[in-house]
Amino acid sequence: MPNDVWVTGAGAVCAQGATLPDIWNRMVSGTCLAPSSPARLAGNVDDPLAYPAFSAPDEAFADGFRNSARDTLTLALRAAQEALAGAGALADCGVCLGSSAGNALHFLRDYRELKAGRPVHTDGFADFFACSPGSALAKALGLRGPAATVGNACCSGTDAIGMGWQWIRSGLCRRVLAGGADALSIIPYIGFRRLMIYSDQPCRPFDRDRTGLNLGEGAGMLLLESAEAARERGAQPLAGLLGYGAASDAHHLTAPHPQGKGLEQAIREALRTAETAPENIGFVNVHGTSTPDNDRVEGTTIGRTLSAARLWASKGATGHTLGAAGGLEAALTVTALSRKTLPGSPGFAHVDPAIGLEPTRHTEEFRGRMAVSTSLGFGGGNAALVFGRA
Amino acid sequence: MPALRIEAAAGLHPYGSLENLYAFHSGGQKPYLDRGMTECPPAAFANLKNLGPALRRTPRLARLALAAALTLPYFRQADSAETKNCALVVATAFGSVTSTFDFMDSLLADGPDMASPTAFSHSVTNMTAAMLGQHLHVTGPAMTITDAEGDPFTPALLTAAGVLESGGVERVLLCAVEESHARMNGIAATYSNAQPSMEGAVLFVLSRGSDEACPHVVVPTSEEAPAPAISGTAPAVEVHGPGILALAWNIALSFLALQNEADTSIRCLTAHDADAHSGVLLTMGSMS
Repeated sequence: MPNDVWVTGAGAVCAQGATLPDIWNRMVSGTCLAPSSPARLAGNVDDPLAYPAFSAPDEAFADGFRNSARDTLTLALRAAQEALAGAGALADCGVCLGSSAGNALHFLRDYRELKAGRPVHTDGFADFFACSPGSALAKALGLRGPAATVGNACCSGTDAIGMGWQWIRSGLCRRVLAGGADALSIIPYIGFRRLMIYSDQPCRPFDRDRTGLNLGEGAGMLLLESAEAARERGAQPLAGLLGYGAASDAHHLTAPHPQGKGLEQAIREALRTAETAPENIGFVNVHGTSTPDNDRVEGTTIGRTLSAARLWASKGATGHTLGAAGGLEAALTVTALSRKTLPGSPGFAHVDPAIGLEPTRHTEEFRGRMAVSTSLGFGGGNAALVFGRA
Repeated sequence: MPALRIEAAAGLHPYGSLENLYAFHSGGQKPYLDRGMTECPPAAFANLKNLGPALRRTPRLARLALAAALTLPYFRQADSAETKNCALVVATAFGSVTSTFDFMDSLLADGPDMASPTAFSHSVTNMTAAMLGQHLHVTGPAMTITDAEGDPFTPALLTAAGVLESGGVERVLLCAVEESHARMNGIAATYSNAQPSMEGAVLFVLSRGSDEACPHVVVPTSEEAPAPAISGTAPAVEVHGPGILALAWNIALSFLALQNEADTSIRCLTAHDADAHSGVLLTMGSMS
């Protein structure tokens, strides 16, 4: 079909590595690094930074960490270049980039100086305007298609990929670089703590004894192309992007709908657009933030809608990377499909009886042909992508 | 781009409603824009009283969008047929400036252990879309498109087109919204090319348009670059006011100018030049 959408490139960076193969190797070998104090956030406020976070390796910030929007752009650019490697010049390519912190007014150090009437010597204000993620990434890569930044909180990356899929399917674009990126920022680091959903221990997605999330940073990007455009340049698919669904709870600003109403609607819409049935989904890369509410609602909803699927919760390795999460997890899902392997779910040890589902404990073989990646976010957003093995 | 049919438009501006603004133009007046007049007056929010306690703790940015939305008949009744098959697309350059500054203020004044969790949750970029969804009972997809220095509205139009083409919903409520904030305006003036923001909200109810070619007007996309040529029967409208909402206001005013036509649609083409400066060609007109 001319409107089939292929994934022809993927790239990622997160706490487990600065490339997708590096990350994957840590995940399948069960040697994931634990979270630690986010030392790069020092100097923003007087805080011991005792809550652990998943920081990207130093090589991800070759020019240093600036505590500004440029950090998110740096991560996005790194993952994007990996996704585009070998593709040559694709000037007609569009950009859909999801971000939560990278496009927000997170310039605390500059703001503090301005408020105090002192000269501003840091780059927060200037970088905020110069690094609007979607358009700045397009500019950095010389991509001249339409560019958008999706600010859908923790669903941003998944929705950005879904938007790219829609742009190609509706004929707006033939190619879209889509995904998510977010660097660590002091604003959500403090904000999630104040909402009492940040754990002072390593997170344990879907575990009975989970006590909250750990933030992380990273980026995950996919090169999406119409099958026709990919064939014209001789590109091979890593996977097919078969469907996408999104829906709103319209219930609460920070809590998911208790019955997962919006998530169920999003999953069903993703299956509808993929023209497939629930029993064909082999695994779900869950949002799995490790907060009591998210995992209970997500788990029971998936148990109801995709009961035959294996679950893989990867945030025990990456942390919650906010706007990057959907992009990062989509890149991991595509890799799992193509390598016929499911890594374990770091942090998971005990089945929560309120969920009744057991995510992968160790790396295992996977022979299914389709997978779903889900995201839930502040604002009551829910999104799901369906990928198929090439 | 697939055509988008404009079913309705509404707006909230420091001068009043979209209709108030259009009256200036249809009367042949060019409204004088007082650069100091950047905020919508309290009377603009009068229709929010009906929401009662549900409005508590609703930030100004969301109030702007809600007050404009509630002037549309589609959303005056909760759970109407129109809202059941509807998606939301919100375009905003900065999101809720007041909430984010409130959180930073509380963090600096009270420290990490006492900073306001409410201000933090309201500072999230998609807060306005979330509150529109809650108050208007819209359960379809909700997308928030941002761009600090560029143009969030054009990609929001493309987003609306993509959502409608996917077939999951029949309508999209597209909302461009910005709030005026003196300190943020000062920062923008110092560190960017962005013009000081005149606050307001411009809303469109969109559905899939016809694929037929249409006579059209070219909508001016910036104050500095007015429409190069006009064809079709509709009068051109002048770009109204500085700031990020200018394109949205132009489309809304053009829609009113064309409202006697049976079926008004818009198309938008966008591309970037070698320096990634975006260019937009937007046409609208009657399909009949």
